[in-house]
Amino acid sequence: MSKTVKLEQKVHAKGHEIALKLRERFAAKGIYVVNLIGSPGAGKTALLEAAAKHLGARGGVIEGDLATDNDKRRVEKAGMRAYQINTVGACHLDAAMVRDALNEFSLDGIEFLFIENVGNLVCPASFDIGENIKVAVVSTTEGEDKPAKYPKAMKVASAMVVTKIDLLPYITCNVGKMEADVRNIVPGMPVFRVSSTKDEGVKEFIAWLEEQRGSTVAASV
Amino acid sequence: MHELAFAQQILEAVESAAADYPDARVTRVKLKADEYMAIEPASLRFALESIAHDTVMAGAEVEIEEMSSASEDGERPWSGAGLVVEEIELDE
Repeated sequence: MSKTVKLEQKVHAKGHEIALKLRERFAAKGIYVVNLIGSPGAGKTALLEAAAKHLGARGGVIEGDLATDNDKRRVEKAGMRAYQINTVGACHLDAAMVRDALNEFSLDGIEFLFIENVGNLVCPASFDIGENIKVAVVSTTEGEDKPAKYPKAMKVASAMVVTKIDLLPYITCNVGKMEADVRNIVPGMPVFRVSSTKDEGVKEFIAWLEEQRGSTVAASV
Repeated sequence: MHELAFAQQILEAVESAAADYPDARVTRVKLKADEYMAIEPASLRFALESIAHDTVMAGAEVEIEEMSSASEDGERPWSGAGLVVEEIELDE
């Protein structure tokens, strides 16, 4: 005898419960957590180096890479405390990796925690690692159609940062098209045009993050 | 490559639902995936088959329906509209 049972049960990627606990832990400390996702070479680390100039010790970073601690060292040199996760084979960070990192990385004094995900616009989009928001980082040099080609990464992001705008005179890239494409996926998506090396547009991005943190902290009181 | 992470949670959901029918075997699992979940059906099926050995779900047919996520979901930013285990079919 065959029997059909209706479930209608939403399934999350493994680690969802850990992520919920992490978010509570961050909220209790008033820490706003930003999960940066973007392809390799999009300029995620450079954006953090630039952010360090504005945030200093108020910012902290957890870096995710398959190998090396290059990014941790870069960000530390720029002025933020950092911890490096090496995923070896994994193409994304998961909540358990972040939880384990916190055993060795103190959150004291940090108001903004950036988690730089493994360079990849596909898998990191599926994983909640305890962040408040995901921010998609896309560079002018990697092709203006990236937002259209990776709709899921855009869909889960709360803002898009377009990096390397100082290179626009030398390349063919229509940033207006990137904006239109991303807003076609997420209407009204905030977009920040940034040059991390020239420190252009970074202040505006940080000011927006301050606003987001302000309303999140206010809401949790 | 994220499909295995979903497969494990799907199996848990199916096992817990099937626990109410101790003598039954799951013959079919119907899933609905938001287009933005970027779920690759072949990878998900392979992941499910790989972990379903010796479970109540072993040998079950897996049906994956892709749905449009045009509607605004209230759960942004930390998830898309998602992946849903719609129903299971049991052979008693």
